[in-house]
Amino acid sequence: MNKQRNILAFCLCLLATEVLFAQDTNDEMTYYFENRVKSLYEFMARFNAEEIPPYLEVSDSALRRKCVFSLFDFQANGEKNDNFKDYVSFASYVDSNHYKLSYIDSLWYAEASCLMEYKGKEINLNIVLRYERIRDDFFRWCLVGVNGLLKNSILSSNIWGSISPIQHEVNFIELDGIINSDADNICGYVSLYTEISQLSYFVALVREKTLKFISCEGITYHFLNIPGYIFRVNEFNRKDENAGWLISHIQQCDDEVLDEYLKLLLGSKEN
Amino acid sequence: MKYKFRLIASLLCLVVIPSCWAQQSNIVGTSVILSDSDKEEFTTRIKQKIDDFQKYLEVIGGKHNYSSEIKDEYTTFALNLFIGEGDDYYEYVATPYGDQQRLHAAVKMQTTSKSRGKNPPQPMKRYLSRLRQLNYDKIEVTQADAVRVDNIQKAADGKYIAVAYMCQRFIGYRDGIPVIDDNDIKKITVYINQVSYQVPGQEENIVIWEAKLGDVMAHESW
Repeated sequence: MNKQRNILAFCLCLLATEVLFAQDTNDEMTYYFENRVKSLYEFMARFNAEEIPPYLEVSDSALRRKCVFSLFDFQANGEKNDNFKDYVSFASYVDSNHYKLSYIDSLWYAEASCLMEYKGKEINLNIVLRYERIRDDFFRWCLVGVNGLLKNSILSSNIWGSISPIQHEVNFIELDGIINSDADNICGYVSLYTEISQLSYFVALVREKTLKFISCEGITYHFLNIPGYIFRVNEFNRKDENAGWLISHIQQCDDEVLDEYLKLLLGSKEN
Repeated sequence: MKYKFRLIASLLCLVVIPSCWAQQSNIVGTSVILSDSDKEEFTTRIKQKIDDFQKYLEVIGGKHNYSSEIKDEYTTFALNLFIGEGDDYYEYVATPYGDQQRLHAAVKMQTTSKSRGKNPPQPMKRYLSRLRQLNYDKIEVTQADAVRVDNIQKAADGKYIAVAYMCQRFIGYRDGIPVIDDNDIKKITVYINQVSYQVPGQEENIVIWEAKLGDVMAHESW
């Protein structure tokens, strides 16, 4: 009888432990879930202090500054993070100038890192998208740039081709050879002063089904709309209060740097 | 008998719940504007849909106590929660020239696993069919109490779209031992549609906001 009672007590204990453990797991999940910056929408809302992270006090006099500061990836350089000073300075700058982020700002971009297939080979390409108003309250994401075609040698800028200066007199008879037999070098025949945009080239390759989408491996958001700064936002997936969509890179910039950054991003230029 | 009763009860719930959600919408001109309380109700409604989906998964994927007929019924219930009900579907998209119809591929589901990380998204019908074939003795799907719904945007044809975020734990048992235990964060697109119903004996139609789930993306949480 005693033995049975002991077994029953043991089972009850096990059950209770399991219930408690389950409760802990759920609480833990909820805790990290609530702290995490789960969406870009939430990132912007926290940046603007329209939503407050659970670990900050609403009554805090430096709330806006702390909200912005909390959006940095504190594990950027492993355990050591030497950039705190820059983070604090940026947060103060945003706070004192009352800068806010909004979906309808023009100077922010999403860069989708995509795995694609080109002539049977897997390549990495970045497709750059921008949020665009269609009409009234309707918006969409649209393609504004592609980078990676030059790097993957799909589009070449160092090929040279020449059509003879007397070809006009013979009805451009060489065009047959150039277009039908020398198709790989067609870019070399384009004017020195006309740019073949990577985006147009990309659109044509996709349209002709030469370039196929496999998957989107990740997204980087580029914010260029805080005057004097450029910052990037990426998603960090970890069991930590500092997780989700966070600022992964920040740099100060003048107009020249901004222009150069945009050219690289949109694919008018490539490193 | 017990299952028949459950089925009837579930069907009754499906019929009764939407009518509880019937509400007066704010209609300004031709566009419909959502109030904060509308948005709150949507969030609750979406949570409810996600809960239903998780319950159905437990029946579809669990081996014990559920006959093939019951699993078929629950698969249908699960698919009914999604736009297009597991098939390709037509939707309206906004253009500068007005709304245009286009064909949209069937809703997809992405899962994660500790060993492989993210699995490629697969059509919902295939996911449910595979889940059934895995033949777990028991499945437990639990989620963190918090579910976030944000980014409610106006879409074409009077619809709204939003994204729901939730943290989910999926445990599959064989012989009483958990053989799969995955934690992930799910991101679910949600379509919110205005549907009007004619009530017998009443001249005016009742306007109901109906939520349908869309593609489910996932990434391993920790």
